[in-house]
Amino acid sequence: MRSMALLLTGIALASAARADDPAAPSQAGAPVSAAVVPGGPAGAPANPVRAPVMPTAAPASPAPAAAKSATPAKPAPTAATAPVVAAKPASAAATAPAAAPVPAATPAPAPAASATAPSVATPATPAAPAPAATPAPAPAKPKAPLAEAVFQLKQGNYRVRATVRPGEPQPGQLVELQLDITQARDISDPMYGDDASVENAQLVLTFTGPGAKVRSSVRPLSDAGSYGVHWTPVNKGLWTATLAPLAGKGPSLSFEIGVGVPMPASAQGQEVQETRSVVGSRSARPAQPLTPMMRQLSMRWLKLLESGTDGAREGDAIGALLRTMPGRVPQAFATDSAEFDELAKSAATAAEAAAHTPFAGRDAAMRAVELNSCTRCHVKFRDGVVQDISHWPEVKPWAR
Amino acid sequence: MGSLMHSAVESKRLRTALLAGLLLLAPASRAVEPALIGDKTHGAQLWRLECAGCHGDGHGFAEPTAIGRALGAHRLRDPELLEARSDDDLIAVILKGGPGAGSPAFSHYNALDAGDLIAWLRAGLPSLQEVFPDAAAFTDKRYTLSGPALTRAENLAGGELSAEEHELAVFMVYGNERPPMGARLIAQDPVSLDALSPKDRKGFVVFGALKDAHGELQPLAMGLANDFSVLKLVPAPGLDLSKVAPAVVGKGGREPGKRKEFISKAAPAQAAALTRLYARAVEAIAIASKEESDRHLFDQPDSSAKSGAH
Repeated sequence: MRSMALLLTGIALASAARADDPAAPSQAGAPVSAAVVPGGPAGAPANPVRAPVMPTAAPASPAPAAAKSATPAKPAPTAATAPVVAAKPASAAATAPAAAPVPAATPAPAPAASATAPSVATPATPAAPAPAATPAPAPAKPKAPLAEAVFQLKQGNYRVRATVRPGEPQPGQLVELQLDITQARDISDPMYGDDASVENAQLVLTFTGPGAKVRSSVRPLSDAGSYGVHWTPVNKGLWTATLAPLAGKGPSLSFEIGVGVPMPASAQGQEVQETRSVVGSRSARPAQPLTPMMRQLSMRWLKLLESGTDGAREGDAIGALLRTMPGRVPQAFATDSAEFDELAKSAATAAEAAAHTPFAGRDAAMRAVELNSCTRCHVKFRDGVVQDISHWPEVKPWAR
Repeated sequence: MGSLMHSAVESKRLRTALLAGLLLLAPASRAVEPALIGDKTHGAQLWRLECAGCHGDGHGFAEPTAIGRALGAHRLRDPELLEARSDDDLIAVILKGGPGAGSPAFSHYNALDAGDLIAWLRAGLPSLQEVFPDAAAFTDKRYTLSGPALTRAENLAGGELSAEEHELAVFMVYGNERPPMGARLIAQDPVSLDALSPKDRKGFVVFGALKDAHGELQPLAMGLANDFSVLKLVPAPGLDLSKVAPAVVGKGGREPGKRKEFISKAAPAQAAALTRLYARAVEAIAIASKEESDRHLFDQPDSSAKSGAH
């Protein structure tokens, strides 16, 4: 049983390391899809350029110090990724010329690394001639914002897997915490394994940090042992999340979440570049193709209410999104596709006009669009509660 | 020997003083810090995106828009409606849809999104917990005034009551062991109601509405003691009742002779509106109390002690 568990852990570590590579395919094969619009995903924080961790540090020097110096924008390499780099110097060096990517080949960090770690046996740096052959190092691509940060926590015989979405929370933006709680069985079950999901726990999560304390009840989700909390942090800084039972038994532990700052190195977790699908937590109905687009649209729309937002830029992005809607009428209303397309086009024009309105009057302009375009479309094509919207605002409820 | 006795007395005095000091330092009751249901900031965003088109912008009671009214939308920021439903009930309605044809299922939400919406809906509304912070359980039932009760209510109110005003929901609040998640709503079934002892009853709560300085209706909660006197008034944040409160709180009683019109020179309109609410409330809680005493008519005085012994 133990060896099986070790094997599974090894597979999990390997897949986690693969997930860190943006080029690697998603584990579940179902990343969150998002329509591409100018300016990148809505609501995404302006992410600093972050050099990739894995392929760069290994060829130049196997020392961890070199790994750190090669990745200045990533102050805390995770426990899951860092040891992999240090453990395989020879093979990494052997593959270096083929991989050849990059700033790693720049000789600058190498002397520093050798100075700080003289005891490390030099892997005979055969990659040295490569820089002359390579034309120019490709500029580091900006890394996409992390979808999740995962913390593996333990207290007594409780194990908590805390997933923070997004992986790099920002002040004023919604953070979703999913807590998957298991408890080690006294006697391992031959069918269900060592751990049992903790069900019907009454838990509370308290956030303390640079702002008012927030105490939220933890809501059970549809999966056994899965719980969740929504939280909007108000200020930038390190927040401490403390999980405790409100009544009865349950885990009592705490971990730190960086808001607007990197996640603390002390948190032994892993950063996930792409989100995985969560089994059974959503509706059983198949996802409609419009849903991710509408999600992005709503995020951009709400951003217009923040002072300092470039209304023209957001308005153009919203208009572009809405202009991709024609032809994507929900299947149930396929006979009314012309009406849907017309609504989408008129909504694009109206939304752009509202977004270009000066900030002082933008809210009122947006409310008019919400009533005359958004609601008009939603009551028929999303909610299906109205049959005829041609005489808007007079509506004829659906006769069912 | 004398010095020994003296030292014993001194030590006893010291212990008593220490104990008294500790008792003074200890909090009178263990305050329960409330835990949030969800994230109301996100709930406000969801409301604007998904609900405001039919249910209004969310000010005051969140009056439905013209389109919402055509589709049968209700006002949702109504404390009477929200208090009568648990969070889980409300989440189920959001995710699976309401009973009416115009109430769609928001199946693209998860339970956390729905919890955020409820947190926003409940935020800033007067609640039963504010009137009775140590409430352990409560019941909710709507009563219709008719016959002599209606006549008495109209006499006290000083005018005819509208058809809407003939109805009022009464929340009966009970003490005892408070659950960690807050007071429990007890369903109106005989077995559950029988478990509530009249001895544990702390009082009653009714909800009403008063116009604020801008002429917009704002909700308020009126707490009544077991002797039917007004215990507390809890207004919505936009409503100022400080002027009228002295003329109302502590007034009223079980005997009709004790029930008189509230008079306030500082806020005569508010006093008249509160008299109207109290007139309805006192008749409705009289019916509720009668129902409760009928339920427990054949209870033996020491039945609880006996059941505990067994």
